Amino acid sequence: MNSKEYLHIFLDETREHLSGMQHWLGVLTENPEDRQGFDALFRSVHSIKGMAASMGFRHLASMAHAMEDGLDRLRRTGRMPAEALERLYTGIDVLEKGISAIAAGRPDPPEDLDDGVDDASPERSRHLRITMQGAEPSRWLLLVNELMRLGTLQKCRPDPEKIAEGILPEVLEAELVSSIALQEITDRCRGIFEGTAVEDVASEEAVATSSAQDLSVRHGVGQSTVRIPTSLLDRFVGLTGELLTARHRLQESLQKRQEDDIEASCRHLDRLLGDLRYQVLDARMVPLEAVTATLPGLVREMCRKTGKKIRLKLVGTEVRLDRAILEALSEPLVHMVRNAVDHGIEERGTITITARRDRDRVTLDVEDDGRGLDREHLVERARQEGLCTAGPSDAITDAEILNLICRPGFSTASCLTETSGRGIGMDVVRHTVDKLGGTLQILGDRERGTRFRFILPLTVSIVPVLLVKAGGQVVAVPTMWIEQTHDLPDAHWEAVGTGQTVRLGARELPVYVLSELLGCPDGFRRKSSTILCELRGGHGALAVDAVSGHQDVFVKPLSFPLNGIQGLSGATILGDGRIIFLLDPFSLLLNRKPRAFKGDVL
Amino acid sequence: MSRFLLVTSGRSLFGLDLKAVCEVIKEPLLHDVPLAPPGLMGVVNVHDMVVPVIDFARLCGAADGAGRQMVVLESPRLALAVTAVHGLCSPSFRMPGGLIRPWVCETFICNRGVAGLIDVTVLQQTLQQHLLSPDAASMHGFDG
Repeated sequence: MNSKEYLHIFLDETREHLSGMQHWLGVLTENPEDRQGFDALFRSVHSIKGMAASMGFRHLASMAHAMEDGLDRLRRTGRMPAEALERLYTGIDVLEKGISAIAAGRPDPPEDLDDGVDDASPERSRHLRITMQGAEPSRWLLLVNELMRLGTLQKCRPDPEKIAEGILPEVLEAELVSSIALQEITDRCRGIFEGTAVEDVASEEAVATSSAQDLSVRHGVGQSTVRIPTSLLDRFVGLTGELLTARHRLQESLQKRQEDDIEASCRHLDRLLGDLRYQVLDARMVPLEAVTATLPGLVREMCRKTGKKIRLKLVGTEVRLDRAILEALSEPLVHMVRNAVDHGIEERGTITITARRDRDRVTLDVEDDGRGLDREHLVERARQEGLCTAGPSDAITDAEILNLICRPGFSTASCLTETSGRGIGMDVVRHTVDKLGGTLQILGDRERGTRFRFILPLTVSIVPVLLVKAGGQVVAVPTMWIEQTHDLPDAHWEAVGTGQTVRLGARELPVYVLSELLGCPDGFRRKSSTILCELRGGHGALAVDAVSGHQDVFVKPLSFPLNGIQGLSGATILGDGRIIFLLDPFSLLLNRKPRAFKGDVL
Repeated sequence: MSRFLLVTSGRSLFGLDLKAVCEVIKEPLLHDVPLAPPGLMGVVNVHDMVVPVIDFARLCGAADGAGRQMVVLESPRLALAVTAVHGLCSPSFRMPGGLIRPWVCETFICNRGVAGLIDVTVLQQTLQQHLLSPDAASMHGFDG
């Protein structure tokens, strides 16, 4: 029963229940009499209890049982008092730790995880290493016998039968579930042989593994498995059948050389492939709550440390996104919430995370009702660093403020105390969002507080790109990096220092020749006009030889050694079999022109 | 008895354990890689997979290999461009260790002469250390 296969299902389902319980506790915090919340919590904890018991995790089952009892009493009263809520949160933490321990390969959580459960059984599982130097086979067998009397001997290495055959171990490893203290076990073993040494390695391992496993539970989407409804698998089977039929039809049409039929079959195949693509991508989608589920715990923990009273409100977290996006989003979200708790809200307030799907995009707002960004200080600091010229601070746009706080290293220690200190990790946040093909904005439409908006694509596997020619090569530039393209007469070029700029209306943009950036300095030939791809954020423009098309491509991740080449972000195979590389213009510029961004922020 | 895939790179003979080889492709279409380091010849499309091609002759210390036959390795998924692929061979005399190259783990005799058996794991480590290093352009191969 304890096979790996079942264990995975058990761990996945339990984590799902725990994340659901976090959600319902949030609901009950808002409305302590929410009947649905009581029922859902009860169902989840009851399921965990049943699953844990059937898997043989008696400790976990007894913890869940204790919570179930408590919940049943509360359900009868019909009201959730604040202290009970706190206790249930602690209970969930304990269960999460238990799950982490099991995922780490421990048969049952150690004793110290029992905090928060009233009537947990005192029995615990021990991993014993026993040595008896110079003992005869009979002593070893007596020892095994004694262990069986002390509790349930779940595993014994080597097998007692081997010992009976005269193969003596240096160390006997035993997994013993027992309520007897280690000292008592040692004494009883010494009664059999004087020089017996007993060591319980389970507790040490638990300490060593718990921190690592905490992470895997927190970042649940980091697992390599996705649960797929059977209905979706049925659709895959159906589609496969349809594809086979379509292929036969196409083959027949080809044999008969009926052009109309060939064309119709190709159209049909195209439709089926589109359908398949949509379904496969859908299978990779995971609800946002997979990453937001741990945030209430984080906020509670931080409130406990700082003494602040902060409420976290999660709205619309059932929105589904590509697993890869969620994995990347996990850390930025934690950053944002930490920043809001640390620096945004002074004493008491609310952090709200709102998600909504808008066609092929997801909008995620992270807002707090704290003191907001101190624009005066930010602008003053920017002036000190020479990043902007003199002028009234209210003339600065939200986008410029965002550029400022997302500058690496802008949020120094002094800035942290003088302003709201939102610079911590914001460069990382923005970079992650950029890499995902999304955008980050600050919305300044509020009197108080701060609102950051993430606009994210649903998937990263299919990316719209602009195919451009540079130095004899065709490369793909994802359109998310491009503001617009310009076809400019030669006269607009100006040499500034060693670089070149181009005048676009009132603006002057630095121009980088793409073929030079790609290592073909002789590739670029000045013509009567030049195609420029203006990069987003006003950083500059890429001069290319020609634009050869625009299409949505399926991105293949790069393997060694391609993944070590700075400036390349993926590869794709076009319909004609050509392999084209996707460029990341910003890392390309950083690679070639380390000073490209200096001073061009404001 | 072990059988190796025998290949020639420049004038040297090398053997590859069959378990390490995925397939052999004759003169596939080579696609350019922007900003490719000197030892990376390009990429090939192998069953819709993007497989990087390593200039094996350069790795062996020759100035210009430009082999047109590719041996696709199982893991890491890389293709080695070699001068010729001779097919399978049965080594008759095997001696541990190579003479010069760290990624040659054994020297053996076959019907074509003396060959070095390539240890794919060490080969990968050598590539990881040298292929993308800043001095890759200046070096003659990666023979460290």
